[in-house]
Amino acid sequence: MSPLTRIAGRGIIQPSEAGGARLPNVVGPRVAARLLVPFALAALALLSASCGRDASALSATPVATGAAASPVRYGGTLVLANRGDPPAGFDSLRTSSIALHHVGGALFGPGNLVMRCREDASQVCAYLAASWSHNTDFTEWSFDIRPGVFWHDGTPFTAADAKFWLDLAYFGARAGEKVRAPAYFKAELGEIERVEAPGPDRLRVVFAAPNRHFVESLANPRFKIAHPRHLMQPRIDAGEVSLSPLDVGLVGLGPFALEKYEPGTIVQVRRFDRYFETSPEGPLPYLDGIDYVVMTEPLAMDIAFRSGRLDGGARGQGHYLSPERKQGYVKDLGDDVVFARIEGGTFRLAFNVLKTGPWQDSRIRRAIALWIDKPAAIPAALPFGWTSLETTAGDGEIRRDFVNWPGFDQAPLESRRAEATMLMAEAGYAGGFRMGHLCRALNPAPCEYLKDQLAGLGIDLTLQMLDEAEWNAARLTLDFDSEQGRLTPPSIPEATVSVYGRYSINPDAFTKHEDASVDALYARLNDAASPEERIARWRDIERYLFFEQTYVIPIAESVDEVAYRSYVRGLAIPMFDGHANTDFSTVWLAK
Amino acid sequence: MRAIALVTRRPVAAASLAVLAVFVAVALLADIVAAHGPLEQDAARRLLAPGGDHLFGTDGFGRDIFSRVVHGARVSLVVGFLGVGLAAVGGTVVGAASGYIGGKVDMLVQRVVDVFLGFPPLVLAMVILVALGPERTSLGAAVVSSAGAAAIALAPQVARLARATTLALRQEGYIEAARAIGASPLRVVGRHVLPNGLPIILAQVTGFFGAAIVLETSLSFLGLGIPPPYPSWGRMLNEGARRYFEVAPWATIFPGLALSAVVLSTAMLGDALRDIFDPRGGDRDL
Amino acid sequence: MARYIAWRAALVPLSLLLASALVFLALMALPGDVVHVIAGDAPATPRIQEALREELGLDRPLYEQYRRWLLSVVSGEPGGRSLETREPVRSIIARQLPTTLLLAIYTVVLSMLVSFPLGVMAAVRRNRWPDYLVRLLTLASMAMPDLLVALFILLGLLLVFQWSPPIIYAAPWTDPWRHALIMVWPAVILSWEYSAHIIRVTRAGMISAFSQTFITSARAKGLTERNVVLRHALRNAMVPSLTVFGLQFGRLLSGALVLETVFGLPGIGRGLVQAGLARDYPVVLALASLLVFISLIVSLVVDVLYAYFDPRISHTA
Repeated sequence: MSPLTRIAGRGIIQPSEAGGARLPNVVGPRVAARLLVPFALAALALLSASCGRDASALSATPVATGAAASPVRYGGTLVLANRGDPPAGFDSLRTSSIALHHVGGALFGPGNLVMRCREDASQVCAYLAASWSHNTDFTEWSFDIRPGVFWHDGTPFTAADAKFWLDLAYFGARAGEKVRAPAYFKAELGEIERVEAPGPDRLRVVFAAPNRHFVESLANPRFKIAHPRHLMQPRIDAGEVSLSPLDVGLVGLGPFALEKYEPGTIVQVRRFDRYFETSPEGPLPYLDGIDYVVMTEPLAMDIAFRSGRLDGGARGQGHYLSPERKQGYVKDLGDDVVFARIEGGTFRLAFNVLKTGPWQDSRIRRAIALWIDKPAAIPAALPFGWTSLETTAGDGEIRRDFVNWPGFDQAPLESRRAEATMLMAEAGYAGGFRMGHLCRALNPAPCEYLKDQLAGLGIDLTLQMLDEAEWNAARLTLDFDSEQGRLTPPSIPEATVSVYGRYSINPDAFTKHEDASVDALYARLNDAASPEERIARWRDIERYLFFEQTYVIPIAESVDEVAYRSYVRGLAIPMFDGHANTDFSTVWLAK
Repeated sequence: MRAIALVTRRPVAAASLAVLAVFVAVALLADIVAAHGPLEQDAARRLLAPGGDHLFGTDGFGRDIFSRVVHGARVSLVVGFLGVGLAAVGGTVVGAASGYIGGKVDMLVQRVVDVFLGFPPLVLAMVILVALGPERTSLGAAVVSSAGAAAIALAPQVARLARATTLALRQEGYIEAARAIGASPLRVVGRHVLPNGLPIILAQVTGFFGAAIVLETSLSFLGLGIPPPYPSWGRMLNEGARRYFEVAPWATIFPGLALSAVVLSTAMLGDALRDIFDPRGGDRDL
Repeated sequence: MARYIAWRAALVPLSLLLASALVFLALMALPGDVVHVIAGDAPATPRIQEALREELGLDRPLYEQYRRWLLSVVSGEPGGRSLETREPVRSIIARQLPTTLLLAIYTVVLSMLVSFPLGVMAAVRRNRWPDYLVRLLTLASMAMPDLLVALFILLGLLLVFQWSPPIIYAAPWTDPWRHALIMVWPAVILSWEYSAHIIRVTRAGMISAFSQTFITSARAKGLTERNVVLRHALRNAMVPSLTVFGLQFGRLLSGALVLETVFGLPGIGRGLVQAGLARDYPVVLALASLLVFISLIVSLVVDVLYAYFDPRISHTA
């Protein structure tokens, strides 16, 4: 989900007046989309409220097929595939891997003090904190911890536990000589000075600098509390600083407690009877348990699902379905299978303008942006993606057209390409040049697609195929010419400075540049007084980054699809993020 | 050469040689034989069935499969020849020397060979490929490193064989005679042992050709090996089998047939050569 | 002979040390390390990565890391822990080794049961249709990559019977029926490949033995054909068969990567490669050393059996 959608809510999308007429046939030029202001304001009004909604008044959410809600049934075990073993000992502070979070949702819950609301992921709902407030200059945030929350071993959850987790995440830990590194997402939390627990049900976070959007950043499904203070603190203080949740028996706060973990094979969780969340139908969760079967090979998962051994597919790149694999599912199961659509990552091309090469000239980058045939990227490079306005059943939400987003390049392909050729000649590279490109060996299709596209401009895109370890390392250096960037940018616009900002401050930025005007633009964004101003200033940043400077070329937004058997009801769909809604507490089996 | 004449007299061996020759010719003339380029994408023509403009159909990017199989032949054949060649040379030198010298040196060298033999060839290949860094991602570098990985995986087996052959030949009369008249070990090995042992080794290593090509297929399974978008049979097999086999089986079958044809041909050719050169006679009916 | 065995056994630790040192150096030479794999897709500033690296001990000099690993081998937690998953190496081995060993044993047993009779039959009925059939089958197995055979089997089972093998692995002492249903397919595929080599070599060895003078004299003495075949020719064919067995066994243990991945077996082939890709050096060192160790033992056994089958080869020289 783009940061813009997140701050403006999932309103109805209308064609933009500034862009041009919307043609009646779908094969014509795409038109830019912009949010309808009244809807955006309404959604923002809800968001900017300081108090959260009580998530215990949850209602069952409809399923993708739009089936009518029927009375829920308690019981049954859901069998899902998992992409691999949860890494890092299930430590949510170390890894954002979907292999962990697919399982982590059930064990540790959908969030921490706060969470993304199940019905509308653009909003923040209460979870372990019943309510929160902040002081006038946003340097102090206070949370009221909900009563009646228990760890899986029966110990009550208190503010001291929340403080322990936040301290561990932000400051790490130290025992004598040994030091524990802080969480990988520390930078997204702002500049925390200290965390206090003035009472058993009150938590206070004090910041060194104003943090206007703390709860928005905190409400990230990846930030799960998997670290029980009463089990971990004594051992960490005694010197075991690298202690992981697996070492202490995977005691969590989520709707399901661990039953059995066989590495390489299966993770089994069973209903936790003292879980605090309820629905109008009764206590949550509805399921007796979930079995996550480790299946690293997508082909094996397909066959297992189609023969009825799985109730749901795995999440993660490679396991998400492609149109061809999906055909096999439909052929074998017909109406017995439904497909959940998840917003995937953005397929983009980012440049390293700090490395000497023709791409340092913004005209060249502009030419490349004009030349690329974006709809053709789907489905050649992406399994599914945004190609046109479409609706989803159920909640009537309408998707926006992303392909020519954010509305700057709307001319037909031929004239865009003519302009591109002209720009290349103007910059002195009519004959083309060679440019390197970092590529993940796991997912070479987008790279192959780009190589073919750029060949039309005479650019020889040299692909550097790297395995995961090398790719993660190489992204932080200045040794490459272009890359696609990682898939998951931070959730709120203000935090995207870590992927669009200056290299010297943000080494993992998509694009490597030292452009100080980007700093200035983000400073203005941080100072936005009203929601409309916030949207407008974010738009300015997008215009500067994607259009004027073309540091990054957004090409298409991918959609990921996961299969579920049609008797699996209560999934919160559509999902904005594959890491979200993995708690399955509202899921029940209609069989 | 007499050997070629002997081979062509046997129908099966002759057929194998012919098949290999066809593949080599096709690989050399790839640009002429194939109507389309192997890298030309056409998103509108994805996964087309064989026929018309595309003899073998198209793959997930709309690329012509016939062209990719033909160009992939180059890659596979070079990896095979280079890999087996390196393995043969390296393994023979080490094995023959170790067998000839004998004693403690022999035992130590054999332990090193054992270590490499026990080593998973895939891990070896993986390490070599990844260690070469970004340079390996050009087609030439990838081919050389795949061949190198195959060579290291196969060389221990050649060394074992060379040693066994040397040990057997060492007892032969003419070797003893040569040593008796004071010929240096190098001369003895070079002029007497190797020429007699080489054919047997050669016959064995033709069988490794297939193993080298199949190793590249396993590397593609891991995402290593020949980098996309360059065509390699192994990568085409993996993509076709795991991504769109039921929808477009031709994307898997044609590279698979090509692979099988080359592997079978080299194996049967190796059989024939072994039968010709085996000093104990053996089967003469291939 | 006993001295020979003792001498060979004494060399094993040296070989293991050599192997582990080679692996360690190779892993360290690779760009990227486990820290980059752990974080996943998420951003982690270099400072935090450095902190994690320091916490895991990856910032120490190479020889010190290697020394610590070596020391850990004899400590209470042999081999240390996986850097990626935090699982103790001993538990990784306890889980992966039996699975792969069982697969290897099933494969060897199946192959032996099939190869010798088929190889003998092919040699005896040389150039008649049984021979051609056997040779065709063996060649076919060499020509088809594991992935394709596995795919055809799985798709075939699915399309014809709407059935697939169980997806949750069980050890034979936990649930023997499910274990059998999971293992039979990779075992059959592997033994098809494995026996191909043995059949060819057995057949060739027997054929060459047939044409030798001692066979002629045995026949002249009036021994039955069966006697000739079984006692003399087969014995002669054992040496090359054993060579193949020894060479291929190591491959069996580690080369089942594709089959382990596709059929969901938590074995060493898959585990080693995954650890290698993640630069998880404690796991790679432990598993690779283990495989080399097994290979050395097998090699020793084969060499001893050589002497038994072919008196001309003695190990006392």
